Amino acid sequence: MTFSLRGRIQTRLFLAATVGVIWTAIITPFLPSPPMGSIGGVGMVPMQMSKFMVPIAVPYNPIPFDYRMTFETLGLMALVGIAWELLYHLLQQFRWDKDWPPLFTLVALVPEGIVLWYVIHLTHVENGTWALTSSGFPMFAIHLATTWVLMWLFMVGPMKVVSLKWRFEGGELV
Amino acid sequence: MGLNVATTVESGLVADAGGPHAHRHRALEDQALEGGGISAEMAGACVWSDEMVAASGISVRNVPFVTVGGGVASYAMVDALRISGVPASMIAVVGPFPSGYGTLKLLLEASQIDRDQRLRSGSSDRMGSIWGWPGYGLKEAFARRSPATLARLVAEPVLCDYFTPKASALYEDMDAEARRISWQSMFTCGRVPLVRRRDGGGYFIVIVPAEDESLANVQVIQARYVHLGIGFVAAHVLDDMMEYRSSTGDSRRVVNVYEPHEHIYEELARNPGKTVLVRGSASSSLQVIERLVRDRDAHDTGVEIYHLFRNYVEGPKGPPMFRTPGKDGFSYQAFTFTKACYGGQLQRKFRSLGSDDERAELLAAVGSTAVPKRKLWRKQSARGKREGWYKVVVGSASGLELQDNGRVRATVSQEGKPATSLEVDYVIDATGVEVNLRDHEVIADLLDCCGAETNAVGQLAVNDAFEVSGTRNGNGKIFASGVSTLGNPYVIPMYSFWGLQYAALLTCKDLSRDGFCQPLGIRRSVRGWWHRIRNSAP
Repeated sequence: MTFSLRGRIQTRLFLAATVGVIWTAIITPFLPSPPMGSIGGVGMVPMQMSKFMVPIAVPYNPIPFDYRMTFETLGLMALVGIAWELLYHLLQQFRWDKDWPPLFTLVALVPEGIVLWYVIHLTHVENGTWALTSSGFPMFAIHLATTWVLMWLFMVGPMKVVSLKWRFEGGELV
Repeated sequence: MGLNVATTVESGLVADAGGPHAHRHRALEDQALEGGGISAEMAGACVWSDEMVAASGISVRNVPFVTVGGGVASYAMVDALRISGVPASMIAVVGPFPSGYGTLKLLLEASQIDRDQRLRSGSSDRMGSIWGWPGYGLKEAFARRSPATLARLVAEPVLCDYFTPKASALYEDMDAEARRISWQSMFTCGRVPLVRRRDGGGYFIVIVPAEDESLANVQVIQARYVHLGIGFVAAHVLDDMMEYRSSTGDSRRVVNVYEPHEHIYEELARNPGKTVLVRGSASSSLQVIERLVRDRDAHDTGVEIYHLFRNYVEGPKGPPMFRTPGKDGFSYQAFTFTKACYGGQLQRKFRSLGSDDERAELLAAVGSTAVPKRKLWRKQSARGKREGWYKVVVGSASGLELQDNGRVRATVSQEGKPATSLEVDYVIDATGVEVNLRDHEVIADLLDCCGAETNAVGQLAVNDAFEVSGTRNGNGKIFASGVSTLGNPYVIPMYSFWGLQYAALLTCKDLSRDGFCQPLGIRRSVRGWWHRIRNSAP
């Protein structure tokens, strides 16, 4: 890949908004859902008031909460990713060819995943422990890894079909 | 992404050194032909009127778009136009070979890249598909059921060398696309000596059909748009080699890598123990050495190789952010230009530079002679050095003489050191190619008569849409792509398939503003790709 800085950022945002969103919508119901309480965010109380204003517990339906978590994770991946792209662009300057092999993009999942795991705790998208024993970790890891690989596959292939400009102008879409 | 100069030569007329075409123009002027033809008066006039042409009795066709050259540059242009919705009946192609890779194949084969050898271009540089996906690598991986090829596409160039396609993959791909876009129906076999402005807009293109070089049956096409896809006209033979040839009359022992020189390999196989001097450190030199070593092993030729480097690169050089990798005499680079010239940050940088001169300077830095780092080549030279049949010589050859014993003596001089001499049986020059714009008759004529201008690196000056500066005529435009437009504003690497396709797209973009074709937005691009996959007409 031969990215310009603008191209890098645009590519990440585009892929997250297309492949990322579609895949997250599909995969979320099938992810291992963490037990209640580990998902943070606002207004997440799985209770309703009865018509007599007595709080009653309703049968817990985790799916809306899972969606909230996966989409917020996806959004943060894109957002924090802008900073990562700046770093990658800097590193690219030390390469004679000023290019960025697709393998680099693929393995960037590891450092980005680690940082993102902390970021979603800092932003209370996910509550609970930061340790990998956290009950929310499998969901996070499976979601991020599958989304990442799909975004990568789309980038090394069909992206060129969608936009010829992308292919010929450093990954820029606009 | 890019290609070796050896692998991306646009079509032009291949001829012996010296460019005999330059003289044809004059011949045309001198020769007023009976029974219809171009009179000397017409050849001398830079603007032709419809009446003039009608009075000459020459048959005139009206085709809105004509591309001259008929090689890979023309092919890229026509393919992009067809995908942009232009019917085949509105396009004409004039060139010496019926397939878009005719000239390319000749030059590749001369420089030892036959059908089964690999090019110096990437998987996604598909001449037969402007989208480049699925690339040659994916195709090969599925055809050969090879997970290793698939893994290589993921790991390149970090854990392994780049995947590079075989020449046969390119030819088959181009043939398939040519059938799909009806290339043959647009093609005329011939050469174009002149392009003239038409009084009232557009141009007249003069065609001399290949089957009749007498000039008695010239044809003329009236067109609104002309595209020049003209590449290397002739192998550039160095001065000292020309001197040797003219003084000895021998062009068998001393050759340029792009001239056919199969006889050398044949003679080496018949008479073992000969010595060859390979000049230059371009990748074609390694291609030649690869062949010599292959024959050495297969036919026991016992050949000794002297490899002459003008600049011997000891190791990486340059500051950390502009550091050229290098070792064993070579600068290393996967493709002809650094990769970011192919649409990446370097192209952006080129675009931001103000003057042609600044661009020429950066172009020289990123487009200097370098070879791809291939394991096979490194192993071969290491073995040759160990076994004593591959010897490195540093300096420049300053004279060639034929000895009485039938061998060639080359004098090698190096700055600050006394000159030495080598006695060898053959000299193969692989110092690279140079393009002399005036070698091609139609470009020489364009410069003299049509107002075309040259740029800082001595090639055709073009604007952002690859329109040749100074040649506009009413609503007519002349475009160009290929090596004759090196130093263009985008500094698109013109030795590459990618570059030719990009130039074609930029021209199409301009033509879509003129209403000549449809813009290639997302919908048209995806639909066009689907047609290509299903092999249905665009």
